[in-house]
Amino acid sequence: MQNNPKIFIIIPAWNEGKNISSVLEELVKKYENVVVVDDGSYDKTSEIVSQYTVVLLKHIINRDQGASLQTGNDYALNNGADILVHFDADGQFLVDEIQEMINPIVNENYDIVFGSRFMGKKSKMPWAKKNILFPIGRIVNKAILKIKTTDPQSGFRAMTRDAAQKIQIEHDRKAHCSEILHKAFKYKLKIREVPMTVIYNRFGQNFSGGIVILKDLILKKILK
Amino acid sequence: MIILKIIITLFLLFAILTLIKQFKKSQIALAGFLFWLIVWITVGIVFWQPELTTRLANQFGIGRGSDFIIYISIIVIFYQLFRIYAHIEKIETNITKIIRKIAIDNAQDNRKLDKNN
Repeated sequence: MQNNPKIFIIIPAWNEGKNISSVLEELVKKYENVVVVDDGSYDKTSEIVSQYTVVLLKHIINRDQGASLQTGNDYALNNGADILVHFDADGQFLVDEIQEMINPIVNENYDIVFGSRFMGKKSKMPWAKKNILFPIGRIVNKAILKIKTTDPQSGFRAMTRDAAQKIQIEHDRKAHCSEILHKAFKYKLKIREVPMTVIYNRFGQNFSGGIVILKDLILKKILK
Repeated sequence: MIILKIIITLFLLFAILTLIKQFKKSQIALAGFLFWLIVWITVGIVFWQPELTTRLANQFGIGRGSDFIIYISIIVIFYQLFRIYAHIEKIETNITKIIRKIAIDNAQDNRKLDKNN
């Protein structure tokens, strides 16, 4: 990887008016290219984002998280990104850890790096999520998608331009996490997991959410 | 029973005529036209010759013709549901593509804000 790669931080945001300020405040101090995809919010997300030195892309109607990430990817790729980082709008991830995600790409030629909540760093994870939902997620990922990572649903990831061009996100909704992992393995990319911290403001995916992801994955596979 | 048969036959004739009209105006594809034509003709045959379905049902080890029709109907309905689901997914994907293009074409780049002010 060349020196001084052009890094793009991509943040999907849906009704994150309350949380996004603190995230952007920190991000713009460290990164020049921050892209926020406002996914049809009906709160003041866009107005708040407009106050920061970032790129704002607006989905005029809600298309969900996977679609927003692909919109951000397309913009970043069109604008010469060398490394793309997927980040969260509601302060779940730490800005300081972005560099730890990028390092393996820059220094060790990895293609894609996933943050893992199961590699040592302390994340206050809800009990049911840690002991029921994620073990099931891991089994499903391994059985259906041949994915062997410690974290089945990591949303914090960094990838090279080449990896982003290969991994076209087709799942508009929440199944994109599994889809990206699956494609990373399918295209035989050089994959690395690094420990990450997650601050749980809310539960995220619950059990019914997990079922919807499973349904989306299976149906998309049949429809192909 | 004969009155019901006449009403159903009139309805079927109306449905087939409408179908032919739609096909002539290219509002329906050949495959769709043939599918619905076969469906309506089959319904007509079943109404006028119900014993045919019993004979057919017996071939499949099913006792009553009406049961056979219900089984076949369920299979057809599920197949149609699946096709509708696939069609909706395709529409959803196309909507996303349009929304994405609008978002990127109208990107609001504020990265130089500080330098300009």
